[in-house]
Amino acid sequence: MTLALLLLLLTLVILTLSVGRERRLTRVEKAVIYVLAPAQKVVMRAVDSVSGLVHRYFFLIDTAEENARLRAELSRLNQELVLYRESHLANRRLRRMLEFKEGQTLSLVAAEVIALDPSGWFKTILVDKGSQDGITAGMAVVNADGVIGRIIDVSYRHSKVLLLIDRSSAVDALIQRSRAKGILKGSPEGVCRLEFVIRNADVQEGDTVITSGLAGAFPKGLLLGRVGQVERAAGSDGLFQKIVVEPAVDFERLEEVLIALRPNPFLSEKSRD
Amino acid sequence: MTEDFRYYPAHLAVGLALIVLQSTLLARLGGLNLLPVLIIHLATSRGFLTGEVLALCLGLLQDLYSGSWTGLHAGIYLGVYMSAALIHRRLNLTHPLHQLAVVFLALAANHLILNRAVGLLGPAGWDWLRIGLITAFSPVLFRLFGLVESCQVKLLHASAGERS
Repeated sequence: MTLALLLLLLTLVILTLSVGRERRLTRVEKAVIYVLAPAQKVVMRAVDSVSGLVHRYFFLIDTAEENARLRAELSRLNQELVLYRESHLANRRLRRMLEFKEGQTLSLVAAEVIALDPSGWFKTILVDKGSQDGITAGMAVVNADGVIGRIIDVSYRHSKVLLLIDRSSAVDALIQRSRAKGILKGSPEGVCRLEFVIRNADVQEGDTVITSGLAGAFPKGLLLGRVGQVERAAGSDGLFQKIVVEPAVDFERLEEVLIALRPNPFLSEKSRD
Repeated sequence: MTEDFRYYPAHLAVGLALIVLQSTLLARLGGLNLLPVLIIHLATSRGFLTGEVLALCLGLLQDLYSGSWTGLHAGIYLGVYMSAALIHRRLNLTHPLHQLAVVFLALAANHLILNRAVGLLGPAGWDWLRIGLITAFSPVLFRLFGLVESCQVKLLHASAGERS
């Protein structure tokens, strides 16, 4: 019983020391991750293969209908693409005229998802790229659909990613159309909430939400999601709007991710090592 | 209850296997946490010292893979282990229904503590279905854990026989 109390005390000390501090993996922790990672990789690949097979089987039924719909969608998107190219060219000309510098091209590293959060309470994933690939804490993680999250822990060959939908995730964001700013936070329901957007800011359902580039963690202009629901308090109640944002990324089907090799300027040189 | 360390490798192996399963297959199925069931099994079958250290190790292992603070799951599992072991000492929880009740209470306590701890960062979700599923499935897991233990005992006996 004495040992139990001592162990409990030890746990409390560990917990107190870890709360509110930047987490650094110990050698033992790195070794455990290193040893378990291959098994997780194998199981994850098997699970993904089976789920992909099941998924494809069920969706085969609707393939013809889906194909026709996608062709129509493709045609519409092609037309839109022409317009966007035109806008992009106009934008570049104006930028040159105003002597704005072009944004830096992101250097990306591809990584495979090898494990998810085992408790079911937190939204984190483990990827197979680590410090040997130049990954450091705070780097942005994206895929073709948009922002996935950011690196929070790095070991030699693996990194832990805090997903955008985790309740402790917060990203500085803006509405692309109206440039209204806010903080995009995760929520347990699997959607995000855009907070601290003032009441009279112009926000509509369907608006695109992108990263603002402020706070340094994420480059500007990465797609975060679309506004799903906007709620303004009646009368003079409430300073801010309640905005629900549907993430652009399907977090249930993450298999590969891209890590943007751009260090967080707010992290110290020591913590990057 | 005997303070027996012979089962350490078997339980650690089961714990590691559960972590691998939970971070892959079970995470895809909605995030089922089976480690509390192993903790209850330890509390109702092993000696105090053996189970306490294992509960702490398994909790730290879960903390390593979760987005939680280091020591959060370790503390919860140690508390769950101690409570279950104390109840077992007084009531002898060998009946399957009693074990089910303890598993349910442990999972509920685990949830409530995590909900309070994580809830500080934002609104927390709640999934009774998950807890119900794990509770209903726990007798099978108890059987499985017992099977792994007996396999290790046989291996130990075999190796002792070879030495003599």
